[in-house]
Amino acid sequence: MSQAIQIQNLRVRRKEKCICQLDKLTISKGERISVQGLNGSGKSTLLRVISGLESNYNGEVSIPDSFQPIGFVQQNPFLFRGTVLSNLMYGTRGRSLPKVSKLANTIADKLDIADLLERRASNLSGGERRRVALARTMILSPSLLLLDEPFADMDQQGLDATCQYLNSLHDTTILIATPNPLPELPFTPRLFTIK
Amino acid sequence: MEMILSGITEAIQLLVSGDALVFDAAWRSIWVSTTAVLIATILGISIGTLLARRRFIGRGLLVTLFRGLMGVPTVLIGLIGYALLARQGPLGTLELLYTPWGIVLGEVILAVPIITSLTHGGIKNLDRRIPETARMLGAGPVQRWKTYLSEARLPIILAILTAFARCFTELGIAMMVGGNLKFKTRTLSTSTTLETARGEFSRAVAMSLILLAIAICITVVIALVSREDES
Repeated sequence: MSQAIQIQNLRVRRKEKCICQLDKLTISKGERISVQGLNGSGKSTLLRVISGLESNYNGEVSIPDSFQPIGFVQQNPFLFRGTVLSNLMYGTRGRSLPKVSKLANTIADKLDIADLLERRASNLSGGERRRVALARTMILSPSLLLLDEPFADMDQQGLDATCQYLNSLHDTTILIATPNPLPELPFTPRLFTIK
Repeated sequence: MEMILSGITEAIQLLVSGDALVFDAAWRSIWVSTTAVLIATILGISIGTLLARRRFIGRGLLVTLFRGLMGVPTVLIGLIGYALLARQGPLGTLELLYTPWGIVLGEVILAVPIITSLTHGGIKNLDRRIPETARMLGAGPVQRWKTYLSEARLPIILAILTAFARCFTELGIAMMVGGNLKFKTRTLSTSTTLETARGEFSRAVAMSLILLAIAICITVVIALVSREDES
């Protein structure tokens, strides 16, 4: 059995209109891919299909178990009511609290959001929200990370912290959807264009 | 005008002196309505969330039914309650007719559609990213349910307070199921009606003042909750 994600002849339709069309995409373990395309080309839909949030499609999508769990940071990530810390801890129920707290602090440090932990999530800027959402997802140690326009609204400091952090994720397969060429990254992702 | 002013003066004297009839009815109104709303909250939030988040045949019909039941007159619920609890009725063996628990049952029937419909609306209108985010973060059914309640906190609190206000001031159920028995099933609204009919205007005003005070308290709580939610 193949140890890569295989997507073939994917078609997603909404009200007779095809909102995502893709002939073939193979994603190997540990690969970093930049999915580029114009607005409305279906980048977000592709990520939704891979994440499992979109099940109404035609075509073949095969995701081996080795890519589980999947982490998905949406284009406009939603932060729950409460503090940044409570958001980071959201998916960690049942895990050892000291270990999770330590991990949360480590990730928050790396993403330069450590000073935001006690802030209310509703009071964050766009760039801060994206980094908090990324940290919240990374606490779950996903094998496959799907990022939908992760660098939008970010200032240079946030951008640098996020790029450095993504570069440090050696075991994680990363898919980044973006309408524009990515900023200069410490790694070079494979470019995949969607039309 | 003079009658109203003297009524208010005497009513305040009755309240200050701790009139037994007034305070007995007030206490009963409070505990009966609170108990009914507590039971209705558990039922209404569960049903409302289920209707908002699960797809099943007949869901739309149930939503419409609960919305329709929000406006049912309390005398009709009182009549149905009477028929159910009367000795020959299907629940006659429970011997709840003319007891405070009979009124609680009637008020539960009154409050459940209100809490169900408003909870359903609140959760149905939540941002679609909430269930998606919860799912992607591995939340189980219970955690997702808690998340919906937390995110729809304001409409749910408003639903509970609205149900409480309706139960606390209703007359039909307390009169028909409770029977307005002195020191047994008399509530503020039934007492107010009775005392007015008997010409005891000041006592009726005293009871109305308590009703008004509770209504103002509920309004203040709603305003505080709304303000906190906006901030």
